[in-house]
Amino acid sequence: MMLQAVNNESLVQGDKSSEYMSLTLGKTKLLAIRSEIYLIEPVDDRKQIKQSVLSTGRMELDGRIIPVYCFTEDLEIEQTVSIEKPVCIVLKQNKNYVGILCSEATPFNHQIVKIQALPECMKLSVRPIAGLCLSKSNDITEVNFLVSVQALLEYIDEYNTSRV
Amino acid sequence: MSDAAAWIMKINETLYISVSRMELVHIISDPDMIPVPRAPSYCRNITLWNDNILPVADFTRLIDGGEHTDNNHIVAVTFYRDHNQNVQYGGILLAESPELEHVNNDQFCGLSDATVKLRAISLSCFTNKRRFQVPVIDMSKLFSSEYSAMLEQQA
Repeated sequence: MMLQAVNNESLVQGDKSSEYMSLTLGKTKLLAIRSEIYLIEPVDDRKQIKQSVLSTGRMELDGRIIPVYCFTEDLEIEQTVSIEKPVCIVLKQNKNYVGILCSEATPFNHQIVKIQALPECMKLSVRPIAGLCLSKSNDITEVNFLVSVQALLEYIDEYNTSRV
Repeated sequence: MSDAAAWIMKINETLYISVSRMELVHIISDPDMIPVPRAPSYCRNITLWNDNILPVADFTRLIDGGEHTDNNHIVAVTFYRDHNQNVQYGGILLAESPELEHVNNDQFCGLSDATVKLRAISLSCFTNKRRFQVPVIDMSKLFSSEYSAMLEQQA
């Protein structure tokens, strides 16, 4: 008997890899939707990021002060800016801007095999990850974690609330 | 006397579990384990099998709350049905390859030593050839959101 698992169903049709950017946080690789990325800014000078209370830091961009977050591989929010994460991705949703520091941000050029929902046992705790992306590039098979600005902002808000 | 075949799975020196013969679909030796950020500790990793992404349950972490034992390098691929009755695959981290054992009614026993965490996902229990109490695991419950919520509340 051969069973067909429903989690084989892809949430996307066709190869949509060009719609994503890969953000590297150590061993964790996030996939952000390109249309939600406002700016990719190299952080050449650590002084660009000022200290802040509820975020890792804050930076000035086009006259706005935006919160900047540095995440560990397990998506804990770090309190200090890591020198290993010299790239700031600024995400925008409506009037909200948020900066995420990562070690690398590259166009996602793997072939997407499928994007699937999280297993049920992980859905409650695994936020802000919205889905799992299985991709292949040459002989390398990889799983990346799909995030959205909305989910990231909600996660950051919850994280900060739980700390207060 | 009725008898049924069950896969006996060794988790560690003191814990064995079982699933029915039909539920085990494959064994993976030394698979790549990919940690999922923020995932519950008993289901910290995913692994790949035939282009399927499987959550992997670690019973040592589930029962003891301890760290994953590096001795366990085998993943039993099992199938289960989710809350919509759709077939899904899940992995169980094992110390050794599972063994098939025929179990009859005389071997059934209570779950006397089991913790609440184990009782909540056990269908029944029997004493195996090595005299261990072996709970029969309900895979659908093990990988359900209700069970992870219950464990989160207990934490």
